[in-house]
Amino acid sequence: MSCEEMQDLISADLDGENDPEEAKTLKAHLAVCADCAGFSAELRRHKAALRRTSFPPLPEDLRLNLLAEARRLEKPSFASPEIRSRLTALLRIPALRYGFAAAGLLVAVVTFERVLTPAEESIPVDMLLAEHGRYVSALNSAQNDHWKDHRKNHEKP
Amino acid sequence: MKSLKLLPLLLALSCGTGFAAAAAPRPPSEKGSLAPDKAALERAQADSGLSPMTPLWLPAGYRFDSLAVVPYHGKKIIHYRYFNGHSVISLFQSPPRTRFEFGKTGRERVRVAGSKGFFARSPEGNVLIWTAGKNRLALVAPLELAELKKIAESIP
Repeated sequence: MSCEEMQDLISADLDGENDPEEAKTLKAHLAVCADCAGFSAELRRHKAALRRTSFPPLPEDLRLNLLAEARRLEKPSFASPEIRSRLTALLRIPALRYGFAAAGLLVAVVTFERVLTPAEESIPVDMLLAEHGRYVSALNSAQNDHWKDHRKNHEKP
Repeated sequence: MKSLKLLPLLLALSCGTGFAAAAAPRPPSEKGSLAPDKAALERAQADSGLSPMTPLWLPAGYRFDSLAVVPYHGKKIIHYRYFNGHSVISLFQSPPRTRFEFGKTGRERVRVAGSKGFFARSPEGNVLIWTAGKNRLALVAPLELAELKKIAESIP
């Protein structure tokens, strides 16, 4: 094994993760390789120094927030097998099964109707005003004609 | 007097829109001539497919004059006209799935018979539009909002 591969074993050894065979291989290598032995000793010193370092305690609110976030992340999602199995169990109840089917049908019918119903037709108010104005003009003109005829008939000797 | 009776016929011919539902001399209606006669309403209903809606109250002096069915883009609108000898009140009834558009005319939001409506002023006359059931209605007349609303709210 190369020294590069041995560095992984050195790191794993410090964490107590090597199996007996790997531990034996590493021990044999460190006995003959001064570089790897030095690297191993260095890592041990760093680890010991870290152990001695004391960390300030976490603020209480930060600790609680972190715990709450961890709990939220642990909640089962809708697609989790647990939820799926509960839904399947619910759908085995005939009343609920038909209820879901009816609700789905209703949604489909409403959507279909909304898509098929033509949009509202706009009628401009200007058109109504023009229609009204046309009638007023016609009425005035007809009235004038009527009074002209009336006057003419009365003027006759 | 004979020429007076022919006045609606002359008007309908000169307007050139719709049919002259009130072309024939009208017998006085049971509501003091506020409502068109039954035959005219039946013809309007047959031609437009709408159930006619007419007011039970009009300002003093106004009487039903004539009605016509006005086609617009495949829709049929009933135009009822009321006259007091000087000015005209127009009532327009349009079918469901239509709406009156004011365009650039300024308008104000009003309540008419418990539903939403709009009022606008224009040189041709003031305009009130509102919805009654599935029908869209519009009044055009030289009247103030209070009177237009009173007419609108008298429509059963």
